Amino acid sequence: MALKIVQYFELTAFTTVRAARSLANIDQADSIVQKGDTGAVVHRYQNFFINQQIKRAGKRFDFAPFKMEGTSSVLGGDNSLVQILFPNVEVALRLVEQGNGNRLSRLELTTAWLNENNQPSGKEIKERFLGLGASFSETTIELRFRSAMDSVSGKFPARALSRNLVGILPLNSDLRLQ
Amino acid sequence: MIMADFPSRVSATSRIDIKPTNRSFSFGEYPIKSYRSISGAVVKRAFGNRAFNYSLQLEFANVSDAIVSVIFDHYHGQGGPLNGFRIPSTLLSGMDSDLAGRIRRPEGILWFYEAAPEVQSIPPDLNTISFSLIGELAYQ
Repeated sequence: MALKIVQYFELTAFTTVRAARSLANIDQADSIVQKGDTGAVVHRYQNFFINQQIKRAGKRFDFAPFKMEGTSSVLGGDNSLVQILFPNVEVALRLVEQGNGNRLSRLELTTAWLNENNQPSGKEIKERFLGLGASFSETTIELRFRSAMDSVSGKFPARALSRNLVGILPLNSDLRLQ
Repeated sequence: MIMADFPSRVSATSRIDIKPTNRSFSFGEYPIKSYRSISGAVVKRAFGNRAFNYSLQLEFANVSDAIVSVIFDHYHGQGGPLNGFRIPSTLLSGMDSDLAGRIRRPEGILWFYEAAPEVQSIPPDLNTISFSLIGELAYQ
């Protein structure tokens, strides 16, 4: 059996704290990527088609040699932590700096399966993350992210939590209902 | 990135081609990882759509000091293994032109020195120089 998988990386980096203020009161049941925010820069990359630009859903994804590591989910409902590794090149530095050290950024990561002709097979998974920070080494830049909200999956009935229902939502898994 | 093609001649006005007396090469490999279960079943995952890590081993036997000097300058001009470059047809002389074209220009590939060339020097003015080139997918 052979697998071909491409990951599409769409990072919205908020260049100012003011632009990122919606991190505190965003309705996470909807989408964490808010298009059209002022002071936001969107970076789009894919990691399979070498030095090619891929057009997908009307968006252009340039090639960047990144890889994802970390957990996708845990039973206890903690936030998932993922790291995305880039080579220490100018493009990756810009990603970090524009998002204030990857603290004011939001990531939409889509994992898509390809067929033997490198065409989309139709199977894909879309995940959304919030920036936690970044670290550097001589050769790599590691962007750290966590899931926006995961604690509902373990102990709550299958209902959406939204700001309208429960007020301002926390950004970590310390959710207390009284 | 500094990219000076590998020299085909000793100098612009020279008629002496720099041609290897011995060479070998490999076709490159694909970015694939395999998972093999204890049953023996295997799953392979591809991480990219192009081959990399082509190799070309070259030996130039009984060549003059001038040719060694040209290769010495090219090696250091490229920062050793740091910068990629293209190779001339003279390195593949005698080979069928279709095959030579495939080896010279795999898609997206630049050639890099794998390590410093090694020279056996026999005075006067006779040398055997050998080195390996690696064809890598350079991130642009």
